[in-house]
Amino acid sequence: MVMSRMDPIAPPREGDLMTATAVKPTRDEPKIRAKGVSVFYGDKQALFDVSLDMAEKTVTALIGPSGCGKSTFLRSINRMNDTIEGARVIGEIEIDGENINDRSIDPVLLRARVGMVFQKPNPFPKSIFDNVAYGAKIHGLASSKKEMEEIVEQSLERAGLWNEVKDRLHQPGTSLSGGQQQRLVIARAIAVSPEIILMDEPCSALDPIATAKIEELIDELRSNYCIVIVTHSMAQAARVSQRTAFFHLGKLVEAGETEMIFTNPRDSRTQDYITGRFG
Amino acid sequence: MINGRGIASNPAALKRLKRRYREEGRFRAYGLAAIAFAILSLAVLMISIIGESVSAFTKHELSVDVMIDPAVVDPTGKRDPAVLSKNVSAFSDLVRDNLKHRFPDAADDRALRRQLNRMVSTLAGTDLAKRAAENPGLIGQTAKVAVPVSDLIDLYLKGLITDERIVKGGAEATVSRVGGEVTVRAPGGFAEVYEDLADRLRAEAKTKADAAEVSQLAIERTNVRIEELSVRREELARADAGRIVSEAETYMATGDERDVALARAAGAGDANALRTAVEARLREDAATANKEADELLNKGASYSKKAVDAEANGEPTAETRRIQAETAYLAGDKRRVDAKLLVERADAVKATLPDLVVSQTALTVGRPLASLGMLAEAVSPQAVAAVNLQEIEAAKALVRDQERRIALLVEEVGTLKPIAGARSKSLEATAIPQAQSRLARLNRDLETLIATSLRLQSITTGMPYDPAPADGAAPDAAAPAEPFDPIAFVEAERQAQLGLDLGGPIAAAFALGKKDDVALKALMVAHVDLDLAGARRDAERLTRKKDRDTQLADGVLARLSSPGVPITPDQFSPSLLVEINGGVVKALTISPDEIAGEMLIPLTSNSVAASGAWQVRELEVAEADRMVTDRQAAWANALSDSGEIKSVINFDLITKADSTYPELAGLAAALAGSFWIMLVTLALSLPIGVAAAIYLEEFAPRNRITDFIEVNINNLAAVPSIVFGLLGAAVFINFFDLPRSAPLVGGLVLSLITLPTIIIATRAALGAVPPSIREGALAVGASLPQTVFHHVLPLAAPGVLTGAIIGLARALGETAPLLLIGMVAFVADPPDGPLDSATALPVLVYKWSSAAERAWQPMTSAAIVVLLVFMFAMNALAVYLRRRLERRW
Repeated sequence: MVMSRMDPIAPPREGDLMTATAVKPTRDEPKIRAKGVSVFYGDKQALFDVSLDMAEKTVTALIGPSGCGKSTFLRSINRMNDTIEGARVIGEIEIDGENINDRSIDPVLLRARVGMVFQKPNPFPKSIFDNVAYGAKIHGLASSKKEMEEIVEQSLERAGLWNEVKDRLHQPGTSLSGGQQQRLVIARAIAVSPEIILMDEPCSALDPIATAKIEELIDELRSNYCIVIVTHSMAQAARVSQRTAFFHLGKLVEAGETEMIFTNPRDSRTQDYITGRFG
Repeated sequence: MINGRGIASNPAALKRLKRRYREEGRFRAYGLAAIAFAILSLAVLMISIIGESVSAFTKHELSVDVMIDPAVVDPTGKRDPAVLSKNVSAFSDLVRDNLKHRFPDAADDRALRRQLNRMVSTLAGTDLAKRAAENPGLIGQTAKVAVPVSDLIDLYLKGLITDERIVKGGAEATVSRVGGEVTVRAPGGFAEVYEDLADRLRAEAKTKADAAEVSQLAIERTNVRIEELSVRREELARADAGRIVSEAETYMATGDERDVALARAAGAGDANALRTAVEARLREDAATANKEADELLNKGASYSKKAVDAEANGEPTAETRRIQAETAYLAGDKRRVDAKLLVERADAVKATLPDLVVSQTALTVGRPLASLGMLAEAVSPQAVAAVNLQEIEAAKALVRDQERRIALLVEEVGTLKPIAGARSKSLEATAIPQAQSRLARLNRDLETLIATSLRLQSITTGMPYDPAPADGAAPDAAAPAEPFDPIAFVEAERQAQLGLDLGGPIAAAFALGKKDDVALKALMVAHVDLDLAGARRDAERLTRKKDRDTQLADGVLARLSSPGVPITPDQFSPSLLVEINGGVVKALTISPDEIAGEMLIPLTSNSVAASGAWQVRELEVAEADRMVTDRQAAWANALSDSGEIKSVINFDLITKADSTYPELAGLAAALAGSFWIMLVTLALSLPIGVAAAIYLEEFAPRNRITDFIEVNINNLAAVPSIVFGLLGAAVFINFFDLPRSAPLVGGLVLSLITLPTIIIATRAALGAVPPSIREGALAVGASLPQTVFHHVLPLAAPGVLTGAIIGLARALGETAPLLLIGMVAFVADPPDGPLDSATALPVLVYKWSSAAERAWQPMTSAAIVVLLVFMFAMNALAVYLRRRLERRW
């Protein structure tokens, strides 16, 4: 019985590749293409054979109950799983057609292209300026102090924080409020000019007003970046994302246009989850 | 509501609640008690150390104007600074000469001069010599110098040698003269100190009287015993045969069972039975000896086999085994000879006539008893002489026996020679000389007996036998120096015979066997006599002691009974120094109105001293019990009063290096040594420790090897420091040949001790940095090293520094490993660098604490205080750095 339930989504074949791309091929090539990704933590398999495409200038929301593997999937996109002892990723993840798990790819350079924002705001215990400038500095993006200042200003501007902090750039980043800190972290990610921004429940530690600001920001950033966001809040997924993927027990159950997922899910588990029967 | 049927309505719940609160209160009390105990202990420790150290932070210096005589300090006239600075003793002599001018009356007497010389430090001229070496122009000039007084004078002036009491003179005082024997008269002026002294003497007399009383009790107990013994003696003298026999039976039972049985048989004159018994006994002994010999020889064989095996395997035990084998063989062979001798004797007994056996048994078993009959009937010099003849016979028998033993040994050696050369040699080399030396001893005994016998024969007058000795005059047995007294001699002989431990019960047995009632009675009476004589001697000794004590006590009390009688302090009384008219008089006799005594410092005049213008200084500790004499105390006080000796802050403690003289010693070399050691330790252990910790915490994969390393680092932290000291001595000094006593080696060893602490502290600090910081850095594309060095390490820095400082503080206090690498050596100059010989603070504390002179005790405490100050400073720095650098995230 369980087997039959799983059948529709399980082993994706070459022909009916991902429903997500099949439903509405808005763009020619997806920015990120995951093919048969499985992740193991030691002997335990956390992610089963996930294939998912994520498009340029689109917000893709990953939803699902706790422990369903959505964060694991997200972290495998910028190879943050490498830092976890005993973590192993198999399958292919392509960014612009390049396999990021390839030996020739340096994770450090990859992470400069794929920024990440975490659940809890984690500014460095340094000044606001240094926080934003750090990435640019280590990647050598600025050749002069002036350029650096420009990068910092632009990044903060884009993160919608400039007006709030421009007079106190040299105060510690930790002195900001939670919402401001999270936007500072986003600015820090933007400063290295990434192409993709991964967000792991960026608003779960924030109050509703700060959350609203972040969501607004995400919406603005969409025009320039490919954004993948993990969220627990269905409402947030509905508000900020264009596409949604539903994970359950380490498997990708269903993915597609956000509206479709929320209004007309094909799988009964998706239906149950978004109507609040479990999760 | 709450008390009614609200929240607390359930009585069981209320009870539980109460119990929970009680529990909480109990644990709070435990915690408070533990903290209070800890604080109290620390406070006691600190107070005792600081209290003890206080006196070391000041010292007394004597300021003198010294004319630097070129003839004394620079006889060559070359003004060579190197020579001048070495010639400390000449400069010290200058200072001491100056003192002799100050107290000219001490200069003529050799003993007084020595006392005066000891007022200042032995190396008093050190500073002056240095000054003269730096500026030779000073020579020939008069220089003002402050020299340290000797350690004992310093202690005296600090009040650490004796308690003092000063009694201001309460009356006008006149002095008889200004020098020599002086009498100071002040009506009523000495009443207080006089009474004090008299009380002390009375207390001493009381102790003596108490002792006499104790002796009296003992005398009474002894008298009771004498009484009892006398009664018993009377009873025995009058008792019938049956009573005597039963007494003798009891007494006999205390002797050796077999000897007693033989003696009894000998006494009974049952020759055949005795012969059988003696022969059986000899054969029994021979069999035992043979059996023992077999066992020993077997043991020897087994050891020698083991020795051969061990040698074949190259084991080091071979030598021991060989010695064991040799010892066993030797003992076995000797026993074999014993057995042969015993068999021979048994054969002889079998062959002899029964009567001869009886007399021989009498000789060998209990020598004095054969003549008991004679003794009992009429003790006279003739009887004693007869006993003596018996003794001579016995001694001759022993000599014959020993000669036969030697013959047998020689025979055995001959037998063994062809079959066991080593054994025969060892027997020949060991057993025969032993037997011969014993033979020589026996022959000497025999000669003595013969000489005694000859003397006895010269006594011609017969002595009637009176068993009761003269009252209270039990003569001592040994009085060779006195002229020959036949009565005393006979008495002594008799006691010697009867008092033999062997003879006592055996003699009784013999007499019992012989059914000789008269002899038996004499024997038993004599036995009591012996006890009686002992008791009388005890009583006499106790009486003498009691009389002596009583006499002393009575003498003192009688003298003190009339008020105001002059008394003489003895050497155990407090010293009384009268300070008057610029001089000091030590009281030798004292009465309430005047004292007569010896001049310690001459008076300036013999004018009348007004009341309050003079005083009596009482030194509580008697002169015999302290190291500072009364005269030295008087000089010290005089110099102190005149301002020549001043108490100054003891900067030498910090600026000077170690010295054999406590008044000159300081911590400078140890401080410098500790500084260099700490520098080397810090330079080595901090970078290595932090690097190791970063690697283990941030870079190393988690696997068995890193687990193993981790466990072993924790183990290293628990290894006793002395083990590192041994390691350091073996590796750095013996193998790498680094200089002994050098701070470099000390630092290397202490680095080993500090490393685990720093690694563990650093790892803990790194582990405490939240992972979100690492993730944040990695997510913007920082590499692992960048993440660690830009973000993690700065956040962990306070913890790392705290760990490092605490590790260093521990290293600063380490003593044992430094002792092992030779840092305990005496170092007179601060080290110039890490390769110079040096010592360290805790090592100096250890050294000073084991020094003998009293003056080192406050110095030790002062060194501990300095050490603790540095440790507390380091810990405070650790706390400060932590507060300062700590950042919130």
